[in-house]
Amino acid sequence: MHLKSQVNPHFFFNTLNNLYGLVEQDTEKAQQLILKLSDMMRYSIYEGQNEWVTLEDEITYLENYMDLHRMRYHKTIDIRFDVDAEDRSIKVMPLLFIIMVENAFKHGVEKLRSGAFVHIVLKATTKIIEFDIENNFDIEEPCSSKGIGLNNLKQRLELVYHNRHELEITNKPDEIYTIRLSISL
Amino acid sequence: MSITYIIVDDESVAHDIIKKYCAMLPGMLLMQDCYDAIEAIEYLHKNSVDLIFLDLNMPKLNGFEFLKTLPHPPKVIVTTAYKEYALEGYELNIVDYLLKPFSFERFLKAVNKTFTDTSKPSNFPSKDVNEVDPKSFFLRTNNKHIQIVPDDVLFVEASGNYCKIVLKEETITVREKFSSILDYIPSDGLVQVHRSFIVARKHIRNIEGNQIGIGNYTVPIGKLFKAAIDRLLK
Repeated sequence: MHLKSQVNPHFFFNTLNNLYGLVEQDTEKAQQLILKLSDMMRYSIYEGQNEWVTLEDEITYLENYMDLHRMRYHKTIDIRFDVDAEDRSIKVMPLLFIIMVENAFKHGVEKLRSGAFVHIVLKATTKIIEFDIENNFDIEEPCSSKGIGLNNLKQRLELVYHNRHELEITNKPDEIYTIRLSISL
Repeated sequence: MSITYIIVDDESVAHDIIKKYCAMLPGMLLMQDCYDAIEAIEYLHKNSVDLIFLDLNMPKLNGFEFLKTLPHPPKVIVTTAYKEYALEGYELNIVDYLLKPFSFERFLKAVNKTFTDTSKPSNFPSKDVNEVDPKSFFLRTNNKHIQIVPDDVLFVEASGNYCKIVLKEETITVREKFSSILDYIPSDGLVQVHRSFIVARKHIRNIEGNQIGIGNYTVPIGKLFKAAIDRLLK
């Protein structure tokens, strides 16, 4: 249970602050975002406890997370999330992808003054899931946290998908960070 | 008569909230929106301001690193979602630390604190460009915010969930409990003389029996507060 990932609490407080301001400026948009935030909280509080969730639920969770990020910054950020899944009802470990996405925002988008991007490609069949995420980052930025989240993910993958997964992390010299995860179902 | 400020925050809605709050106060003048510390450094290189609203988590240079680059920092109110850096902030002499999201009341308290704090006079904006009484503060009544000079306060009277602030020229009512009113007005020279009355010592005309004459008013002295009055008379 303790290995399961939790979204950074600052994300919630910053999002609440944005909603606090937005409520007056654009009520409709604020309401939509409140729904997304509720969905996210419900998912991480309840579904995260389950042994399995559907791929569909995981995808929605990531979409909500990214939509809430999109509203935050003054700078423009390039977020792409391409999904190619023939059957979204396949079961996966809950909160499987969020750590990787959160890292991409934390080390990339939050640290770059401009031109930040996060590109995600998710391909799934009933036999295999492939998740690729890449983001740029500031090469001068000292890396503060030593990947507690990623180590946590590695341990969970070991437990749930023992000998059935591959996690490949590439830190390219051209300021692009890539993670590829593939899982055989 | 104005207080100049900039906002340093990478989230645009955070700017909107602060601007809206400042617009409710007289004399607050926005000089620049800065979306990261680099922009703020560029601005402050050529200009000076009285006050910075500063976020901490920003690209390249975080809020505290930014502060350390300023040879003569103006007053700073930190606005952040991070609770854990408050201590470090106070070491850097910030005036207040606001946790997002924050209410207007909390914001107002921070602004009042900024310009009633006399312990760091060197940081206060130069007198030649504005005539703000450094000790003046804002109080909210209904939808208005009234700027008050501490000298004008004669006494404060409790009235249920409200307090009456009796000034030389007028009386204003604020929705604040008596027990916490001193969080909003500077307490220098104020003496509590009754369960429901705090008076400004310097405006006392006379003390007679269990009554104090102050301005054109008469205020009762509470039994429990007799000793405090006796001390005044010595």
